[in-house]
Amino acid sequence: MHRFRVGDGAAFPALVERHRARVFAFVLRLTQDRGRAEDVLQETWLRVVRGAAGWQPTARFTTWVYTIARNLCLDSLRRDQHRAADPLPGDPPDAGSAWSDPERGARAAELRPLLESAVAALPPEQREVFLLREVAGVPFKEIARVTGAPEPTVKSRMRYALEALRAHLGRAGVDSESPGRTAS
Amino acid sequence: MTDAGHPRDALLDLVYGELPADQALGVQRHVDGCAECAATVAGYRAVRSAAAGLRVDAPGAGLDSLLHDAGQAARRARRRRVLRWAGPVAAGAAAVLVVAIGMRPPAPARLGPLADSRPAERAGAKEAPEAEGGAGALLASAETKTAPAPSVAPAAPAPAKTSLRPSAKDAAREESVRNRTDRGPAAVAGAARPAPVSSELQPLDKRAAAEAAGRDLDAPARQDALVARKAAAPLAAAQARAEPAAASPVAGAAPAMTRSDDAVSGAVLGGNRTSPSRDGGVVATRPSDEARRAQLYAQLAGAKGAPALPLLAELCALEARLGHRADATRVCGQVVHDAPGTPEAAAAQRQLDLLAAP
Repeated sequence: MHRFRVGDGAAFPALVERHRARVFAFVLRLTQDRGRAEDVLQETWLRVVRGAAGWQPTARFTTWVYTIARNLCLDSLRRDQHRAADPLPGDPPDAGSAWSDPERGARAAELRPLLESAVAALPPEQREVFLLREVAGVPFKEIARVTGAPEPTVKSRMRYALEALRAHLGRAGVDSESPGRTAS
Repeated sequence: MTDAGHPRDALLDLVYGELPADQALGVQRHVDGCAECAATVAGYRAVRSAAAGLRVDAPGAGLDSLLHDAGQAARRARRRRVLRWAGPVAAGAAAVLVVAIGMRPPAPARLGPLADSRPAERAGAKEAPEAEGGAGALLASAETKTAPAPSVAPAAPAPAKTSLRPSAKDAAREESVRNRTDRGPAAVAGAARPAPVSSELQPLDKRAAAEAAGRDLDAPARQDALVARKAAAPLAAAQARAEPAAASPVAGAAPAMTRSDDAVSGAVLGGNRTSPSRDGGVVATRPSDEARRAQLYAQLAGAKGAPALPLLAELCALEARLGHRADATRVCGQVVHDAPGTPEAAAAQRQLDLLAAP
């Protein structure tokens, strides 16, 4: 980001390559609307481009970009509150996974529809914390900055989210020891 | 957070790898011996494993226009960068110009015939105050309105005489002062007091008597000074003029005022602090931080590649000290970016951390 900020145009594609998919995964689950998520994604990166001059190296780039994305999601949701959000399709056509462990990736793919619905059912504040940590890979301390909530609150939300998701998986017969298998 | 002895937050940190190694070991030990925490951790890990499928590919739509916009923004940033350096560079150049003009001694004082200085020498007891006043006026002219101007005009003949006084003895004394300067300002203050063996420190009535007898007590000193002046830059000549005044009996109680070029330019720009110079210079009145800042920007404009790093590192610390938050962040960020892994980058990072602290 620093390179781009000082005028290195070649640095930006690398930045996009590294973060764009994660940001999209985050906004897609937060908005639960693909069209809206694509708009938010585009606007997020445009704001990164426009705001690069004012970006300070003291702030982590991820904190900044997810703060922008989150605020845009919330604005978008507020604007369209009257419209019922379309639920995420159970198996979207672009359901590619970059998971490095093939076996684990296969298990995750099996569980995906189950988890999608479980994540969608989480309260918004738990969902955003879960998505920021699990999908975007943002540390808890940074999530506290993105969301404006104290770190203990962030962790508390995360625990509730994980316990709810675990319970959801458990109800579907997925055991904790081997999440790819259903409990007998 | 712990709950009935179970480190609930730490379990979360453990599962997400956010615990330092030593703490992780302790928490893992607890988990190994606690069935409840082990079940919690297993549950968290199961969710994490399943969540791997939540990743999606970002849509390609809009990417081209985004990259196009980014390219334009990068070009604008480059232009801004050039303009941003241009301002301080111009200020630095202006400061140098002001110093050069301010420190050029008045022609009659420096180049006037020796005869011009005679009346002042014959002034006897009034000589020292005049000499002090002359040097003071000269320094005041350099300090551009930072202090009230002395009553004696800078172009008066008296300074001409004092300007010719510095001699080999003065140079030796300067060297002594320089050596003592390295030991601290207190030693410097002591060094500024007149040495009893110096000819110009003879009792003034004795000098008057000698001059009445037709002897030119200052001739050797004048010769030395002329030789020295040929070798030295104009600023050094101004320094030489200032020195005897500080060493005169009248000025003996005053702090030493010998100045380096930087110090003089600092005075011109408003700096008045006195401290030893780092490069072993004579008692150097350091330029104010603002003046040093302007100099650094001017130097950076001429620096290319590696030599710029020490300048940037100094500027980073200086901007932070001056409270120029945005500039400090920019400069320190550049140091961190340009020279990762160097001590300068580490120091700059520390400044950035301090700047980031609430």
